[in-house]
Amino acid sequence: MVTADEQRTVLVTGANRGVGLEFVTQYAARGWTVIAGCRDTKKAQDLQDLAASDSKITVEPLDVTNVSQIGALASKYDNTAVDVVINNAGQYGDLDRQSWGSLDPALFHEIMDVNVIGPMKVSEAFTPHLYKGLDKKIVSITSFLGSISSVSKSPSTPFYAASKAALNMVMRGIGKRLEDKGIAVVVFMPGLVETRMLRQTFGLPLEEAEKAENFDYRDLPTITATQSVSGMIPLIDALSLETSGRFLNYDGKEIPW
Amino acid sequence: MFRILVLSLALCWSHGAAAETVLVTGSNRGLGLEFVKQYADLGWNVIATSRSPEDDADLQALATANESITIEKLDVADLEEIAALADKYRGTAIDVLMNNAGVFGDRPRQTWGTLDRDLFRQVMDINVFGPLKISEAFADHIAASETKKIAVISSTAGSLASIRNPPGAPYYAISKAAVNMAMRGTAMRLKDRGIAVAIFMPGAVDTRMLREAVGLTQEEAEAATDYDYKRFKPLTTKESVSQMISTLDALTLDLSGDFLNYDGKTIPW
Repeated sequence: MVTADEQRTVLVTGANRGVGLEFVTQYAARGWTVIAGCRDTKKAQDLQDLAASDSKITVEPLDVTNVSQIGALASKYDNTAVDVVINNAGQYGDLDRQSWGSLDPALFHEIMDVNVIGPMKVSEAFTPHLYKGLDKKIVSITSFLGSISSVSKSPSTPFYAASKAALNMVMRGIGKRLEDKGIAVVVFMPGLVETRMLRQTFGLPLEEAEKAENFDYRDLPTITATQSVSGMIPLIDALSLETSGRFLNYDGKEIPW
Repeated sequence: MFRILVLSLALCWSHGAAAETVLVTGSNRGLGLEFVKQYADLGWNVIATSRSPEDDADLQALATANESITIEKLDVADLEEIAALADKYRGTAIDVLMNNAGVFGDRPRQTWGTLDRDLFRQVMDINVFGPLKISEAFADHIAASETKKIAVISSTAGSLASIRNPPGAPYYAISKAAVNMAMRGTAMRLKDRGIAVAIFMPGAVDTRMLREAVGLTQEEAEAATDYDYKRFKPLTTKESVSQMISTLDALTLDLSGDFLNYDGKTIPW
């Protein structure tokens, strides 16, 4: 007998590390079919290892800034019902290229492409698959830094903050646009998860943040990716059209816009 | 009594002697043109910028009639032009920076199913990066002034909390949420330099952009100057701008970085 979980499919972007990799791990453990998208599949060793041990995980090349690649992946899965799309891929951006006095337009474009139009195009491309799905849910990983009303001091990463406020608006719009098609949306603050990105917030360049696995987060109340994703999955399960369009912390607390 | 009179006269004089200066972007039509008009009427020096001033007959006519208006070419998506203008005015105190330039963007290119990434980039460049970069470039000029204020013209479309319907122009809405965040951050960044920032919702003002928002193409919207909005009566640019100027006058550092209706009421994010 096929269980409810075994009938479900999830698409995860940025599935090679951190929160994305953990979504793949946990959904696969529940018996879901997982389409795990990441930019460079060859370098994604942890994801490849996971997929090698579970035939329901398929690793797919997906750079969310590559519009034709998004289109090609959607075509490849034309006849597949997708229940949940998780827009997890995101970028923090170098601190010095978004510092006051040296605001760099090239970095602005890059961050807006990855964090805003990327998830929007992925959601658009997979809407037909979601219509066929049983659950019909779109999830985006945003950040507390995208909460405009919570800004009380000078942001160290203004582009990242602006991109997350923008992503929140993308999802608010999609929620209203697709409401009558039965699609529910949510944006999540994943928590202070011990990931490469959190280490970047301490000022580490990308390369150092990648390597610094035993990093000292000082007095920051960090959580592991496992804790974060085990918090979010039940909230995704419970998401309905009635609760669609909200900004939630990984533990379910609502965050103001 | 006499001394009070003399004192207040002296104050008036000193106020008049050092006229304040405002820089307005997108000043060739609509709200921008009206800001130029009203600030000039108030006796301010106006640096009126637009993308292609040679085509702007209304602005040219206004500047010809009033020598306190200086027209400058400025495309807010052109970083070199921003830097060159900031250099040209180095040493000039600018009291108010009015980030008014903005685009709505063609609807078909931001419609679900045909989302066009090039249009996304264009809308974000003009509506988000432009105001941020100009505020950065002119921060010293503003800090050197008496008034020390930055405003940005946002929109109710950028209010995350206020969404009721599917947005007709999602890129525009996204860009306005993003610029709200960018300018709130700028407010926090510049607070200790005494600079206050207002993020304005100008109201439903009878402009080319409002006619685009109700569904006309840009060309139609440009031509339809006597457009009948039927379901509502729009504000005139004159009403909206005079109230925004008063609201900005009253703005203090405590309220810096809030999202304000043209009449000063706070709008939810």
